[in-house]
Amino acid sequence: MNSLIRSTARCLRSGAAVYPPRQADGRVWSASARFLCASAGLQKDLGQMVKKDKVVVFMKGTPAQPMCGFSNAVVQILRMHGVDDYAAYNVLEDSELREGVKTFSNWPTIPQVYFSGEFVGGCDILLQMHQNGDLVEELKKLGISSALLEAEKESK
Amino acid sequence: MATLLVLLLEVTPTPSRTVTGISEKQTPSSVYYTTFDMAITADHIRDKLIKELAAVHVDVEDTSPNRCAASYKVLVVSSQFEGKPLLQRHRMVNTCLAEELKEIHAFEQKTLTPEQWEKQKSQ
Repeated sequence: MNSLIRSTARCLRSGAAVYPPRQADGRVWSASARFLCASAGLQKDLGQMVKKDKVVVFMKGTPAQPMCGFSNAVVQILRMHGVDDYAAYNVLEDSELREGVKTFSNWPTIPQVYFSGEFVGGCDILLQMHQNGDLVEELKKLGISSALLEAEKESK
Repeated sequence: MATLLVLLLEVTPTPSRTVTGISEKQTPSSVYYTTFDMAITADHIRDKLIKELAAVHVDVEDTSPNRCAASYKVLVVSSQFEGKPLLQRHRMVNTCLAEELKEIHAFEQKTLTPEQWEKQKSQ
């Protein structure tokens, strides 16, 4: 109960950061507290964040230092296509963002990729789009010419 | 502000199925297995996908290092995927396994129509 009051106070103070409690029984109410005080603002912010940049990635770690294999895969795929200029948000630095983006996208896992404010998918989808050629097409729609396409042209 | 505080305090930590599931899991010898513990087995995932998505073929692989049901990789073959883009197919699987995914740390999926599945097998 003490920890509940502490976390409530913290929540009210910052309007945001409720850290995931370590005890299993903490999950239920911390999610509710977060929902009550911060979620509306964050959901609105997320709406702007995903539109601000052509390519937006929510990931664990940073492009320079991904902290999860799936996030790393997304970074590597984008790199292969020569996409270096994208907004990457590290959800490990912000537990509220970590949960908030799952709600926002209605997607249960991280990483999450957005093109022009549209949800593309997670690692599996980006990988399959890379494999079947859709990624080159989608990047083209964003005005980004894939480096793989350039390489192909040169080899011909 | 005061109302908000009261609201928050009313959200008392009630024991949930989740809590039971976790505590039961710590004592695997316990005979008191809850339905929740059953919920995240590979068999449960397979059964649910077959039942709710009319999957004709499902592969479920526990990809966690100690096979501790923390991460899964699934292949789902269903005619319900026909004509649907990848994102929508993945959302169907996510929706079907929404409860389970709360407990699963990592989840990989591949969604194929029966036709795509036949083609992949023959390759």
